[in-house]
Amino acid sequence: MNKSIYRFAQCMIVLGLATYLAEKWISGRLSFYINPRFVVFTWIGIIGLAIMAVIGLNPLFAEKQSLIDSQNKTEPKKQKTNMVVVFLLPLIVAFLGLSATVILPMYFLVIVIGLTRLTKFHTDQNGQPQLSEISGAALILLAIPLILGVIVPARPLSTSSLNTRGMSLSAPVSIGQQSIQTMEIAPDDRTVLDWIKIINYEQDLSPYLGKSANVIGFVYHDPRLKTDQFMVGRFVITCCAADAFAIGMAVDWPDSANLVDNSWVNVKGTVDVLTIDGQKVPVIHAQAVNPIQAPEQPYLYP
Amino acid sequence: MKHSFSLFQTKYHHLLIIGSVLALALLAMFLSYWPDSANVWSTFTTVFLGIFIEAMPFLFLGTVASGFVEVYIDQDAIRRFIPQSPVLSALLGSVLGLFFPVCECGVVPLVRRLFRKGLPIPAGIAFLLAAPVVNPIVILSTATAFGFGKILFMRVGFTVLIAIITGLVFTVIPTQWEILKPTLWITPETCDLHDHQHDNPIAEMPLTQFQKIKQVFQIALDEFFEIGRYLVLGGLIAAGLQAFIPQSILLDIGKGPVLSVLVMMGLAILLSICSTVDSFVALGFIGVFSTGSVLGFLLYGPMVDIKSILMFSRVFRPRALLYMVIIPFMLFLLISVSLNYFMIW
Repeated sequence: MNKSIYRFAQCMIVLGLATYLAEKWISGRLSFYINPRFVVFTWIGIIGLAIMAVIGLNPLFAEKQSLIDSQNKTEPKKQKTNMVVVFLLPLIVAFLGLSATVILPMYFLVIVIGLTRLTKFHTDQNGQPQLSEISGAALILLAIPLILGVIVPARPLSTSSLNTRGMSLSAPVSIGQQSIQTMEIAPDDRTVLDWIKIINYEQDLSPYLGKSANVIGFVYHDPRLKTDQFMVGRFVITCCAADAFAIGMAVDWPDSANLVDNSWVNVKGTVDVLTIDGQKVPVIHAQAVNPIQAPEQPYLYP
Repeated sequence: MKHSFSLFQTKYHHLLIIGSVLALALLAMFLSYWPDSANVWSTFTTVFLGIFIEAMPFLFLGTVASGFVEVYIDQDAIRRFIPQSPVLSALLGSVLGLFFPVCECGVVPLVRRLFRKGLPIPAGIAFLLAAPVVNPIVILSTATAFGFGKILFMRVGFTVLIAIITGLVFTVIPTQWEILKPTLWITPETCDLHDHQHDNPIAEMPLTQFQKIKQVFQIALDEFFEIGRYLVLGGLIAAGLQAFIPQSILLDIGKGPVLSVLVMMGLAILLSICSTVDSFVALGFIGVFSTGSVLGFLLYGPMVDIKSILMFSRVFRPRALLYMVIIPFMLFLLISVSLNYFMIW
């Protein structure tokens, strides 16, 4: 592969990744993949990728000029035209919040423009490090996240991932101090995670039992439950989707069989405790189960 | 000489391409037979992108650090700074992470660059293995998760100890070329950046500060692809395992003082979580698993997991890689199991 084409491909993949991440961040869907606490690192990543791309692209379009300069033994002039900024257009458009249907064609247009204007890449320009290698495999592999991210619709984890993960009955994320804080949350504001913490870590459950609960979550028919019960569950994410685990509260609801797995519901009722496999599990004696839209932030964060 | 290396690389890369295409084809075949395949595919993608998006900024920071080392630090500085004695240099290497705060994705390009600049092998190996734990960010996150207590001190202490021991094991080899990949097999003279450029008139001009910064990022860009592909490959494997292999298989067998340690160390390898956040994940296993095994997870995961093994393979020859995986494994196993037996928590 030609060195300049290789360098150009590197820059376009890196720029594509930055654009993809910017689009996900603006649309709020970055939280499908990582805990929003770490978004600041993604910003650093986006900025870093953009800088690498601009600096990598710059010599590809500036060199002819400086090569002529070097033959004339004159000081290199300041480059007059710098078309590198054109390549940042998709990224800028992504930051403006435009949809992928605008960004994608723009990205391809920029690639085509770049390819037609590509000059020969000279490594012997002053301060130009040698390319360490030309590897098609590296290009393909680094393009995989970009391609997957673009062609597979962005979706949060669903109950189908429970086939391999299973639903966790305990709240292994909690430590002492955190469970005390849940006392201060009004009962109606407690999430599934808060309730699980309370049931697992509070010594004395009497102040909690019989209290009203008002939680949202996805429906999951856990094989360990009876037919008139289902789990209202949430995924808990510490860092990224790779460490997600699902937690849930059992719900007593006569119409359970008619609820579809992975659909979102709001459950209102009173809280009680149930024992499954020797493990205390909170159960809601439901007064109402209403279908709702999946929330923008589908996960809970410990 | 250069040609033989590029030949070697081409072969290797063809294998890599063929391997990844085969893996994808197998995956596609597998998916078509899987019930509910659209959803499993979506889980796979979400987990993979989660790992990649989370790790990418740290990989970027590591490659930029490597670029800075290349451009700004010369070999004499390293020779002066690193003691000649293997023990002292390994000791120094193991705490170098306090000054270069990188996690396991960032440490690989940095160590490779330092090797090229003449860092002794024991120091480099100790740095490589210890840096993901012995650095300010990870110490802070571990303290946040577990408090300033036994777990934190044992995590840092044992990591330093094992990193030094492993680093010292490698002092028995006569030259570093026996363990390093031929891509690193460049004499200091040829690896010098300006050497290729003597016949070029403008190359004689000293670089301005701005040009140096540009160099840093160009080197970073190259390394982002060189090392990043192993992050992608590792992420694909880890996501595949998570999407298709039931975790309950592991968790069910993971009782008892020895098995639980093995299971947690296995889990650490499979999950491939970045060391900056793995303590929060480990917290999730307290109570489910023995404390010794959770410590095993915290100790072994940062040193060795799928993505770091793949990234190490870029720097080290297969045999050295094997030692680097197995020696810490045996030692940590010993430590964690003994803690389970002899220590009252």
